[in-house]
Amino acid sequence: MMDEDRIGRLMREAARDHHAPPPAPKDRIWEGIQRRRRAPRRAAISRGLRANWFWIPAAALILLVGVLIGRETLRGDAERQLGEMQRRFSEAGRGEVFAAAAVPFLSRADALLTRYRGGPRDTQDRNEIRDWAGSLLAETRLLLDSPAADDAEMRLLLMDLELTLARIHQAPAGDDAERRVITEGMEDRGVMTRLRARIPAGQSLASL
Amino acid sequence: MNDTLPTGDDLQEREFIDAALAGDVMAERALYEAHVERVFRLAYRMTGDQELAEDFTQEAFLRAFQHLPGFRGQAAFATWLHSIASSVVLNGLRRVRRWRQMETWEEKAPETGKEDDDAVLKIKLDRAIGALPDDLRAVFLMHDAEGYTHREIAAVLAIPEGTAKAQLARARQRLRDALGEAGRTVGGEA
Repeated sequence: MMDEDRIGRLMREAARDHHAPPPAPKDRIWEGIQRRRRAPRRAAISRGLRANWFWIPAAALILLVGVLIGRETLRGDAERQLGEMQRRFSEAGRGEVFAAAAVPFLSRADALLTRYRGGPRDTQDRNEIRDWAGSLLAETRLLLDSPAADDAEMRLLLMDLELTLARIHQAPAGDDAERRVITEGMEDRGVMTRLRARIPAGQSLASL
Repeated sequence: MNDTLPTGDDLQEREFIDAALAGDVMAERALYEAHVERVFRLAYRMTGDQELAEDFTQEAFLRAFQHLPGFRGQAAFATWLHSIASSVVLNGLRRVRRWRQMETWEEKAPETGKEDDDAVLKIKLDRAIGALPDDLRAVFLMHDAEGYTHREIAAVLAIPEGTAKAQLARARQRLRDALGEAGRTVGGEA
């Protein structure tokens, strides 16, 4: 057993020493920021091509044709190639599956942002919107951590949503000016337009 | 306790923000210089990894500059920036863990000496800090290592101030528990 002072001192020292940071390499980080800002479009295109919906079925079709030809010419290898094709198709389709799974979330986000943009009716409505934003914020972060975010456009949309939801969640109660600023920010970045483009017709909660 | 996040000269900072919005890279650099040290410190405390800390710091500033048009000044710029940074770090850590087990110093540090030696207890505490859930660890390190106030932590993590206090208490209790028998105080408090 030990006295409270000793425990307090040990905890303070352990906190101070845990991953004690060196000075920030300011110039290197700044250069990295500038480099990434100069090349965002190139990276987005590259990532987009990787996850583009056109390329996934196209690649699968090419693989399928290849396997069929292989079956005719090299029957002994056909089973192995088919297995390989199925594996590749499965990997290529993984992001698509997650994107489809994200649709209900995007519908709820659309419904929330629509309701928020219209302005809360009363205090209870305002509190509900704030809690709802907090809940969707957690889901947004999970999606950012999932293969759904492998798609460059989806990732950017989720990042914009994350910031918008965080601001709604933190906005001071009854501050209409803040609500206008958040709404204008959403409109400037086309958040709702991009959100709705991801929701198949008939699945939007906001239109109900 | 007074707030510790840099507030700078509010008027000058607003001028820098306006100039940055108008495309002035020097103004962006001034905002960056004023805040990068604190953002990097938080990232490094949470990751213990130079490369990750630099990457997360870059990402935080990129996103801040990208979203700067939406910053109206309701909260202090530092609070707004740190809320972005904490989000980047916590999300990034989850992503990184999917790919690799994070190496920790404590795995290499032998635990030798008497059970209640300060050095041994500090190794135990360091391990226990590393084993805390991210949300508790963030609150603990922000408060006890970096000196953020409860109000700042609440604003940065978008949680009520009471929750920030409760999480700090839970984190400290877990650290006491990790000390085992040695963590029990003379008065009997575990």
